Amino acid sequence: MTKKIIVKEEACIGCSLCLLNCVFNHEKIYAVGRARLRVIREDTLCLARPLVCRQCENAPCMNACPEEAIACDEDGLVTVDESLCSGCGACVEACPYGVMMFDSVENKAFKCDLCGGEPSCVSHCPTGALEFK
Amino acid sequence: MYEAVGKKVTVNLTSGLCEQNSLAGESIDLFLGSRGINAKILWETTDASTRPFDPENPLIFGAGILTGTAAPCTGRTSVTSISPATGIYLKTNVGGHWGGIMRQAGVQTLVVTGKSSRPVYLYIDETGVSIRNASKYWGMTVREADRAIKKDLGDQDVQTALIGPAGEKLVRFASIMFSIYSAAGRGGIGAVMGDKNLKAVVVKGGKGVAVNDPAAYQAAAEKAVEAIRADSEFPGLSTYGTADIMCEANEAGLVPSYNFKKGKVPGIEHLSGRYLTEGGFLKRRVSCYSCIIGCHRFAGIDHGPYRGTCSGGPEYETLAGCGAGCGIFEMEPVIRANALCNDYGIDTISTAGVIQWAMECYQRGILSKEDCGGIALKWGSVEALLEMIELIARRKGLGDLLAEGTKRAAEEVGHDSQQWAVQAKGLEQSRVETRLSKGYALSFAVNPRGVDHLMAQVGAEFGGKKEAVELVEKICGDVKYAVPETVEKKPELVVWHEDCYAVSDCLGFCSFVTTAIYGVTPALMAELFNCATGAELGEAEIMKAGRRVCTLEKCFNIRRGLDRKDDVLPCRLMNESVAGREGDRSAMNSREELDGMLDRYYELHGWDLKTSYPLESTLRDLDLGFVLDDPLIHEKLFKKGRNREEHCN
Repeated sequence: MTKKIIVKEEACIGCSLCLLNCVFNHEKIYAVGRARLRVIREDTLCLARPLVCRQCENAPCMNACPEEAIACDEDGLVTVDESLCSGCGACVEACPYGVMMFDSVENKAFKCDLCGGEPSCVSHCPTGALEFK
Repeated sequence: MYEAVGKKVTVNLTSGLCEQNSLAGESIDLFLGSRGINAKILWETTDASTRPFDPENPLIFGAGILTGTAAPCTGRTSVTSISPATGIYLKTNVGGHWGGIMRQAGVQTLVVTGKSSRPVYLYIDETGVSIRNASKYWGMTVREADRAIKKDLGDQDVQTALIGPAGEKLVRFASIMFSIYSAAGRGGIGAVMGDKNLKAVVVKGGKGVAVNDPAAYQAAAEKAVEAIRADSEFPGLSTYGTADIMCEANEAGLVPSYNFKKGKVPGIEHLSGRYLTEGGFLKRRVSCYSCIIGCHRFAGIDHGPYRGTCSGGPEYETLAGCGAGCGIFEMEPVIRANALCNDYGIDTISTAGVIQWAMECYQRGILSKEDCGGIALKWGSVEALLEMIELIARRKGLGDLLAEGTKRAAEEVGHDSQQWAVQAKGLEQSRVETRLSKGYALSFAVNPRGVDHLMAQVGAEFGGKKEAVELVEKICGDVKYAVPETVEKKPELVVWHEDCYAVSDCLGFCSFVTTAIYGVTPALMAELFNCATGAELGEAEIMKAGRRVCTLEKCFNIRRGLDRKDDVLPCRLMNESVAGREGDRSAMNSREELDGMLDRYYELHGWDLKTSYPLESTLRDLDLGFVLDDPLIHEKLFKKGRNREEHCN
């Protein structure tokens, strides 16, 4: 079984560095809207809650995909094959954590790939709110 | 070169016209961004006759040039205007997440001019800006309005910059609250917004920020993270926030209490960052955009009369001002006072300052209980503090007078009450005992917005940690100058800190990582700036750009009639020694002591000693020749030839 990103919500101070570094690692820009994880904020309480892909076994996104574009590899990593993705959005609706992302320009789903084994969100989290284990 | 720089959006609330332009024409390589660009726009769009509440007075929001990226602690925004408190230059700088999100939408700078005939808010996203009806939000507190706007938009991901009722009522120290609890607090910037009938600026993210050399930029950002983490001040600031220093500072006599009448007061431990944390008030640590420190607090009260109160903060200044300043040594009332100030949108420093002045008037019998609407405005009275905050924010009773700020209130009340009005240039002094820290004293006196620590923090003068001592040695040539109570070499220290602070503001860096924690050096800032924009500035050049910004700000005030005589500290601090050292002139900010430092400070700047006006050669060397095109400046600088080079020294 592959390692997963674990969230310790109580340690999150809401800095957004996970979002920024996620996108930078993939696209070399700083665009929080393109992150492969989310931070849900309740600003009046200064609450920030990261939501990350759990690389589910028997993943709902995978099961919902009519094109069989989503697969789980032998390490347990759930991936989207963009060449097969038709952009129907069924996976986005199916994800219980809201972390299947959608590129409305390319009309393709995209998701967390654990940065090939060293998640950038985890390594840049200043408080240990994200762990990889 | 300017690929990484966002747009300038200009909104005229009178005509409803909105424009979007490139910022390339604003000389990024000379003015860097944010505070620097804001200062240039303010210079160009106003003249000596523009008043704070004229429609022509612009309200300029500038995110740092690095804001929106992953460089640590770069989430800050400068807001610039002519101050309703002082009538002169005003820059306020604020954290939160607003600036980062505005940059994500591709906007660097927002200039708001004119005056709307009805309450409006601005909505900014990557497609541009729209002016929207805000009638239903008018009158709401900051928290209420934030909640209502997000609910109506059906979007929790937007960030707001808001005024509360105090901004609407033109309280002269109203703040603009960013991300609800981060205050652009000083100088009444919120009143400028209120005068324009502008309740909020809402930003929504977008395509994000690209930098010129991504790999090199990211590597420099990682270097900055390491440098900040390695500093000895990092753990304390992170764990206990800005009030970490409370007890230590009080021990050294640096926390002024009872309107600067006392220092080293007992009971201060109940106002410390440690007590806030360990006393069960701290609910969580909070960071601004891209910040790895998280010195901001979210605190609440679970028991007693203020049960259920919660808000962002309180910070050192609030604990020192609303607490020790008013003779209150309990945490709960300060958390309550802080929450009220945040919700109404008033600056806690000026609020506490004007209330302390009024308490002293009451003690001296100059304000009666009747004058105070039946409130016994006694030192230590929690009820008086909390009621007065409400009255100020709503401009009711005595609060209407106090809402004018300490300077105007003292002029109105008379009876020599100016003598204990702890303000200069019209701004209430922040809670720093400048009589025992001469570098701070000088930096406060020359601060173009008035007496506070937010244009230059000369923390290094205290020594106390190796990073500070090393910096003092670098600037002054010897570690022996790292002592707060001497004047030697303090002008040198102040000038360095001013330049560095200006660069920090322009780039969006929090001053805590450049002039408190000294980990992010000017050289590292230059590296990040270059990687982001494609510029090729060295350390000296970026510091020169900081100097350019400071000098333009100085010129702005000269155009409005200020000169050397305005570079002073509050009357009390220049004429009364600190408690326990009566008669000791070295324990006050005496005229002669300040004059000595000013002479050297002006000399270092290349300013005329008599007037404090920059020399023509200084302006030209800083590429500020355009300042001389202003007829008023031209007249002042060349009148009777007094500012010719040979008159220097």
